[in-house]
Amino acid sequence: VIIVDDHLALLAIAGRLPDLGGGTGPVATTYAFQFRLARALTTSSSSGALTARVVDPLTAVRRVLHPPANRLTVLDPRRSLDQAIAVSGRHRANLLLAELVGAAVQLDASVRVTAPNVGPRWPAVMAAEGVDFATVDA
Amino acid sequence: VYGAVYAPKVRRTNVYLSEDEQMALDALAVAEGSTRSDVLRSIIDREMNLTGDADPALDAALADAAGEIAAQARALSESDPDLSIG
Repeated sequence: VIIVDDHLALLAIAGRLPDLGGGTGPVATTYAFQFRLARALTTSSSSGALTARVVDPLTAVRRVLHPPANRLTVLDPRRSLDQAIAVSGRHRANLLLAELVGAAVQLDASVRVTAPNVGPRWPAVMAAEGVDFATVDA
Repeated sequence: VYGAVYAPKVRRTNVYLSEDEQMALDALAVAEGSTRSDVLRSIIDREMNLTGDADPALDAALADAAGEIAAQARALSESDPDLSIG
């Protein structure tokens, strides 16, 4: 499994994922990243960007809320709750990072994110937890 | 009806089903005038969100706007202690 951030998740839904630089298996994202993405899509700014591209924003939101599983799956946060709590305790990670790393640990998954979505402590946390982590140009 | 309007390229796959699951599939197939395979495919498509027709225009627009939307997602989460990048 390769777990991606909201930016890459949207590209996955669109069937336009860039090279993820290694990592194998299906592409997935976390509930927190899906939430961030869906929330952004409902704002006037994003809606405007889509409307300008002749797309109904509601259709886009539906696509993000219910992505085709052959392109992107959304991980159930309850399955990795134990690991997420442990990560949060060890690294004082917030929900976004704890869920991401917890899911990666639980699934032995790779994590790929875009550079603007890398927090200052993320590489060290990923390394400490033994997660295959890299940034991807999108 | 499902098989008549939507004929995807299919591949033979063996799955193990309980007697109850087989009976349920067969009952639905009879009720819909369909086959066990068609019923099973329609359930999978529905559950996996594969039912929507391919929409290349939507895909292109989402890909084109992805950077903008991701930036908006970051901006909205910046002051959110749970969802910020940190």
